[in-house]
Amino acid sequence: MKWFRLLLQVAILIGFHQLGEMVQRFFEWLIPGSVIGLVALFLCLKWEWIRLEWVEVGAAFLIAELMLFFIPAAVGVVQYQELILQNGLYLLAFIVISTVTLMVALGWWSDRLEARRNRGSNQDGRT
Amino acid sequence: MVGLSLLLTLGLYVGAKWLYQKKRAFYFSPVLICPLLIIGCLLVFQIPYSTYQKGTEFLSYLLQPATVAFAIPMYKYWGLLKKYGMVMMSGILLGSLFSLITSQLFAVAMHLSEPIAKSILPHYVTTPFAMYIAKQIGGIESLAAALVIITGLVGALFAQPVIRMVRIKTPLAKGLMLGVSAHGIGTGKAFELGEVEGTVSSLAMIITAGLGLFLTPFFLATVHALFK
Repeated sequence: MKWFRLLLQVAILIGFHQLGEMVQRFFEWLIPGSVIGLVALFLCLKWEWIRLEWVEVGAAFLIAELMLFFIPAAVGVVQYQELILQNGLYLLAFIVISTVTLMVALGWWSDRLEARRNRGSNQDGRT
Repeated sequence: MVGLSLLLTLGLYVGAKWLYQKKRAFYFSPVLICPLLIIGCLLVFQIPYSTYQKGTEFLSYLLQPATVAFAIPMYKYWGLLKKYGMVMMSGILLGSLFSLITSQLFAVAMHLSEPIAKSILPHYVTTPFAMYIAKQIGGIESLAAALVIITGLVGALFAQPVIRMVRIKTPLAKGLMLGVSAHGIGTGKAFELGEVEGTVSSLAMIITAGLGLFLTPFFLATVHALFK
């Protein structure tokens, strides 16, 4: 029963993706079908056409196992061995430097902004 | 052969996930160790990638409904988005521009070929979107996917040191910095830090990805108009 419910909920999510693909093909939009499906499901939840319990378990499962679905794509780099051997180290160095710089800058900036806002609202509470 | 690819992938994933939950060491992270071991198998047994790809098509397909599934955290935590909206949106926009500009500068400095340069551009966007963007602008899908995964691992790995060094305290800042820079894997890390951190991170990740769909082609067009 538990498994059946999970499969059914995943099937609903697959249905929303297929719907998104159809809409994308019909209107020839640049947005991928999965995003159209995401927006459609969000609106269905918001307008209460679909209840949260009907999709919650399936969605939690797919999001929890997200890493599994990336693996085949990542294995695809095996086709680019030459490139990896030539530029791999530089690529890695670039990713480390740019990602860490971005995290420091973004973390620092948003933390100060949020801390100041919190302090502001606390004072408002006291007066 | 085809069934074997699927079994191998599932088996390694379950094993790596179990190890990762026990040890919490980044090198047991399923997205790192599984592709490496599978690549090893393909090379040793001389199995062409196309054979493996065919066998695991269904797994790759599930990325699509998994993207749809992000409607649920967005729906459940819509209030959080309203509360933090301004900081999040400006952080996402500036962060995305930073990633695009540094990628482009790196590609130009290294004289990388056009398809490779275009595969680096979406490295800060979550995998299904990054692959889609790479395909749209003429990059290599699987290279883009690999770079995304490396970016996520780097983000998750450096999250704690950065938080300590810069003394980041608010959950909003922790979640935002992980979601914008390190997408899915960073979001996993953010959920280890806390519920709000994880939720902010997953919202930031989805919005960053959605914005990337439009921003990346627009950025490329601007670069071409300015420098060509």
